[in-house]
Amino acid sequence: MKTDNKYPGMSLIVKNTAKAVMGLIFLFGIYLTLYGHISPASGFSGGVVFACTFILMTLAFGKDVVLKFLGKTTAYVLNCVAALLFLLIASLGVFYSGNFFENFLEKMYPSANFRLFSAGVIPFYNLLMAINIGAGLFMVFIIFAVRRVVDTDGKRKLISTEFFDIKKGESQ
Amino acid sequence: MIETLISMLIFFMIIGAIIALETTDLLSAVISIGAIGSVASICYLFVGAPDIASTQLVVEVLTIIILIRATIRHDLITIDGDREFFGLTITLALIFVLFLFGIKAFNNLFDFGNPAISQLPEAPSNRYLACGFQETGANNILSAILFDYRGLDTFGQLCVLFAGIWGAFAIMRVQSRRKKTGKGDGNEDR
Repeated sequence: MKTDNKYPGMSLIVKNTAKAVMGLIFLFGIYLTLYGHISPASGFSGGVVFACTFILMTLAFGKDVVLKFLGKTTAYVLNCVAALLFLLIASLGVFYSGNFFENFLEKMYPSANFRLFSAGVIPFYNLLMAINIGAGLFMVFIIFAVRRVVDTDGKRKLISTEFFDIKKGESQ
Repeated sequence: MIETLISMLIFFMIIGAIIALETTDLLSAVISIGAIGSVASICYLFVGAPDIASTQLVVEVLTIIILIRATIRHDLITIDGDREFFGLTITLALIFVLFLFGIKAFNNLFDFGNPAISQLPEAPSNRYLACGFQETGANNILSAILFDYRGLDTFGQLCVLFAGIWGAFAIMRVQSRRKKTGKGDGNEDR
């Protein structure tokens, strides 16, 4: 698999189409996540849409562009911090209401119907779930994307250098 | 009646677990684990959870395939002579008994079209539908169930996905972090 160093990624048509569509897809993911407690959506589908945006970006522009946005450390941190905050919000229910996974915000401030800021802690759960799922699926995709078979001394080897230390301007 | 049947099944599962622990060849241990899983799915049918039963069966079959693929390389057992007839008889008898248990479990389920929510007023689904909004404030009843009533389930799901992603990440990593050379050479090939 040999890519042109000057123009990595796919052709001009694909790049322009991806540029036009990508923002809308990301916006749709935000909508699915934020309105998960009102309309038929949830954090899981929102996270999958987030991951799909970055996968589309990887396929269209090559992995170097994407790894500047969402590199190794960022994906790690987003995945772990979202899971820990999920547990933290669930544990806050113990202190405020006495039960694990208690909806304490709704108990304290009862909310109106069909509002964006309603349902207590459920929007936060949706948001954290979306961040966790999106970062995790993107990590799984990028693991496969950065693997590459190269010939070194007549022997085929799999390398995955760029995910572990990103060097700008140096591509194979 | 159901309690005796379930205790019989649990006794069978305990025997299978002891066999899986004490046997010497790996293939028998794997097959005993599969038997435990199949009996557990029939237990789920008895307590009225057909969805969990089918999930358990599918996961068990997948696990057996993966485990046999992983262990068959190490020792290959060939059964010969009179052990074959004995084993075949025992297998057919056990399959017949499990078939009878399954028929009994299906008779015990609710009729098609009349789920538990329409017959038992104290079923949890009725509470979700009746006072889901007053208790959680979420208009989407699915979100209310997923993140409030059954939040612990969702958290377990999240943990399973988290562990799966990090396991894939650890396995698929070609270059070990300890001996990082930076130039892409000096790593093991897989």
